[in-house]
Amino acid sequence: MRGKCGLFFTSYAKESQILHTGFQKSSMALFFLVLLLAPFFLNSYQVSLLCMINIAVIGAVSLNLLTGSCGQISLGHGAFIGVGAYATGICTLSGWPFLPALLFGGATTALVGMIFGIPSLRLKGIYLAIATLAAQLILVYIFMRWTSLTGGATGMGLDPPMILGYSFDTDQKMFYLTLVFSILAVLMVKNILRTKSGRAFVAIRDFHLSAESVGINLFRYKLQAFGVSSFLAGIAGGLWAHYTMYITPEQFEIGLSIQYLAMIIIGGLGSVIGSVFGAVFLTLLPEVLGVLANIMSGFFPNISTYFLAMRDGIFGLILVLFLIFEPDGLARRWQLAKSYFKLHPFAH
Amino acid sequence: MEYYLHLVLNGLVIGSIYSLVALGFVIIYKATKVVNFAQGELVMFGAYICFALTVQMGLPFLVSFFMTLIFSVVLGICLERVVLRPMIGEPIISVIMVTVGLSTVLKAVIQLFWGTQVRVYPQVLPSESVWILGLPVAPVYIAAFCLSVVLFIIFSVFFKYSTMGIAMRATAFDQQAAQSMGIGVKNIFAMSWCIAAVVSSIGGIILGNINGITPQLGHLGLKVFPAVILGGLDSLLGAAVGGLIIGILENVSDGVAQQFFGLAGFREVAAYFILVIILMIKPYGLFGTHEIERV
Amino acid sequence: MKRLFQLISLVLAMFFFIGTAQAQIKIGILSDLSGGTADVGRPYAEGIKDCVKYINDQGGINGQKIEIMQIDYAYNVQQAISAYNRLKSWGMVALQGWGTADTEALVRQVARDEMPTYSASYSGHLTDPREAPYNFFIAADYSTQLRGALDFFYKAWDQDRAPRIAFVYPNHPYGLAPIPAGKEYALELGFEIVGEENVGLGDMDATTQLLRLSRQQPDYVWVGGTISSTAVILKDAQRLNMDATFVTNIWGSDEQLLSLAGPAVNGHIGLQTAVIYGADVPGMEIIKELTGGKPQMTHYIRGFASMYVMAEAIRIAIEQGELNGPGIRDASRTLRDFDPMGLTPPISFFPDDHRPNMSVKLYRLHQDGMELLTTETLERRAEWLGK
Repeated sequence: MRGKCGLFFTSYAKESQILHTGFQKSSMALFFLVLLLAPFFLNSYQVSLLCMINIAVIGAVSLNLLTGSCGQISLGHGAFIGVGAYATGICTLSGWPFLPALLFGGATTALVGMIFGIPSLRLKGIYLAIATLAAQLILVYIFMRWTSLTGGATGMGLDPPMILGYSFDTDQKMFYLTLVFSILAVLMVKNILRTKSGRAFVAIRDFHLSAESVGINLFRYKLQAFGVSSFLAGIAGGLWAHYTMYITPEQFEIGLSIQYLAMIIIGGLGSVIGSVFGAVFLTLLPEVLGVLANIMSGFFPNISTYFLAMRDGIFGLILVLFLIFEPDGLARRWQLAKSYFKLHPFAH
Repeated sequence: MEYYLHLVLNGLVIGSIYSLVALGFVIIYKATKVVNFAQGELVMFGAYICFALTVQMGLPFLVSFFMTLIFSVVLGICLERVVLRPMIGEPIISVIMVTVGLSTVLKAVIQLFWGTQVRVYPQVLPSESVWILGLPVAPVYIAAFCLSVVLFIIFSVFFKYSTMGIAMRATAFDQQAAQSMGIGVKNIFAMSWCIAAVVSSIGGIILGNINGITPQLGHLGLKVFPAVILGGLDSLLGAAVGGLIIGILENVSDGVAQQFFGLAGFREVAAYFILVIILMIKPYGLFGTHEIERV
Repeated sequence: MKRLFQLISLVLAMFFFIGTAQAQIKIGILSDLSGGTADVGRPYAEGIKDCVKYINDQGGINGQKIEIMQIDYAYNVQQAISAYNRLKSWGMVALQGWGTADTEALVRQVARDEMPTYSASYSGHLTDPREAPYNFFIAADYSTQLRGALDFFYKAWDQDRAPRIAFVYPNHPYGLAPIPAGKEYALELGFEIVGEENVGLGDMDATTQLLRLSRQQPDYVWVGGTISSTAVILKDAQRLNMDATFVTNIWGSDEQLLSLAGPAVNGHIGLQTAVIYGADVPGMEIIKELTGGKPQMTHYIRGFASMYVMAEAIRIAIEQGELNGPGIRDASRTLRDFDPMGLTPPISFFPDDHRPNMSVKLYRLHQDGMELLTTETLERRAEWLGK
């Protein structure tokens, strides 16, 4: 039921629906229509950006499940993506078809994630963060040194993905492939949060002692969180590997983990749509800065070098500013914007 | 055997650098419970300021040394006021990410003013090596070692006996109780950041003498974590000892890995590897205080 | 909401601006200006841009001016790939690449997109057109440089026993690249390989590794690193009183090393593939004019030369009427002993061999400068291609 009085629900099932009103459903449909038609209007650079955004979305929602919803700080997400990338790559190079290789990569990463999640049994807060940092560094070390498996520092060259004889070798085709997976990933995380596991995760994050006294097996659910999050990270890694067609251990270092953490924080911890916003924002940020630098270099020729060099600094600055002024992230801005329209002309 | 002795000695020597940086880290955590991922950049900032004053402006070293300390105090106050004050009460992940963002901003500022080239530092210490037990040790490291011992003693005394030090520990333990006792919590925070910045700058100046300064020096901040976790996040003794232990562990495990397992370059991850094992046994580090959680 | 729409339309308009540039020769430049290799990346990029300025001042290539777009990817592979995509959609016909990270990551993509790439990563396997058909560079590859140094040392060796050599390198593709080739050639010549150590690019201390090596008493030690790690190694070696002669590779020995390592460089050898600033060659006059007499690093000169050679290939391609990827690639392959105004040894590319030349210059390092010892030229052996 809806009207000027707002929404009220008459059953639990209706309450946990993702899209409540007809307006929401039709705008979601419209959004997807635009997405599906986008490659026909954009040039290949912009489509490649969309591909990277899709992959980033998968990584961001998975990290959000672990860190935002379950409260387990993980600095090792970049390495888990790397595990997925290498596992999928090794399988496709051995002749496996793409989809089984991708799923196997995800499963391997889930296993690795759960192994590195074992410390979460005893560690909390910063100690867990450092243990996951250790995971990050150790995994990258393994990528570098296990030369027979991963090609070591030289890296691994891969072919574009091939499903049932159809090769996804252009950016447009990769866009559709990655879009499918990112939609599936977002749906998966959103649905997990609606189930018993999801509620257990949130309970662990907020009041873990009370959660334990209510009967939630902390260790089992924490491991589950690590497992699911790592599975999705592995999928993101496998897609990334076949999109760039060349993976090296350098791509999965601590910088990638920090980037994903920034995505979920800027987007809003614990909110799925926030992670999507964060992924879009952070993927587009370096590009926008580059475009700005180019425009400015038309007026101030030398400043572009400095501006480009400041890109990392601007990223850090934006992160700090968001944390100071908008700690709940873009998701909150989005909620405020929506409620502004809903309650207009009344104040929010 | 002599080889392993040399490894241990070298580890002690390198570890004293880690101890210096770890001291700054622990001072901040002890007073404000903030995990500072930007510690390496604070070290680097001190090094660059001293470089600018000594080389670019030609001031005598002692003068620029003290001026660097003053700059560090100012930097500490600014950082605390602008960046950390709004973060009070936020979840720990936000605080961590703020310091991560801060580290990239500091690094970019340094790159902006001083470029990316390696800058050579004025040699203030003699370059003749001192021979200890058959291993030549650069005087720079001996200075670092002595300095970390001195600083450690100073700060242990400070935190244990001086009013300000006890006030800082009280604030870290329970902010509300401290406030109700009349302790100005904001001043405590500012003070702790200033002290940490000063300690880091001293460390940075020493570090610069080893191999010049580049904007990549901030990576030292990552090395500090095994040292402080090992020693316990809020224990000064732990930080000092942890730094030395990590230095020794890195070198010895590198030697062992090379000799018995044929693994090269193990020292990159040795510290973290050992760390994970230790954390499984003692979740709060070797000397850290066990946090008591109440429902 | 209105502001949001305005912002979006502004961003889209900016994208359009990029798309509607005039028809000139568009060259993309991938640089590292702020990342891990920025200390050598900046001079190299300056060299490229100054060469473009010089060529445009001369009227361009066959009357057409060069238009460049430089993107700083901060040695981050993801940004390198999106930068490449952006340059591609901007319409570049050729790419000036930079380091190992981006060049390796883009090998397949530039081959698929038929985009000739002149990189500053001199890895051996990029010289094999079967693996990297669109990759070129203007310096002898790392393996050839190492072999050249080995040749020089062996010829200068006058004692009865076999000379002992050790290899020190970072665990990074750039450091690993020449090692198998170097070891193979060392054994072929008659060296005794006594040790191999890893020193990371960011390491502050190499005492442990050098302690192990010094026990084996090598006569020569190959150091594959960058300036920072090379300085650390040389200083630690001096401290440990090691007798060996160290030979540093091209990215580890430049003017910065001399000031950083001080007296520790005395007597060691540095490898270069281009002249140093102030050398008596025709190209140096032009560079001196462009830089106002201010000394530049060797990387600047190599960047200049890289753009110069690419411009020559583009000129040939225009004359053939094929200003496109395959055209420039084929034009590059027609270069025979092309002399970039004396800045590097003459360059020849072949359809089955992208090695520019087999020459490496050896310099004796002193605290106040580098002294040219000789230019070693090896024979162009087919079995060395791609290694």
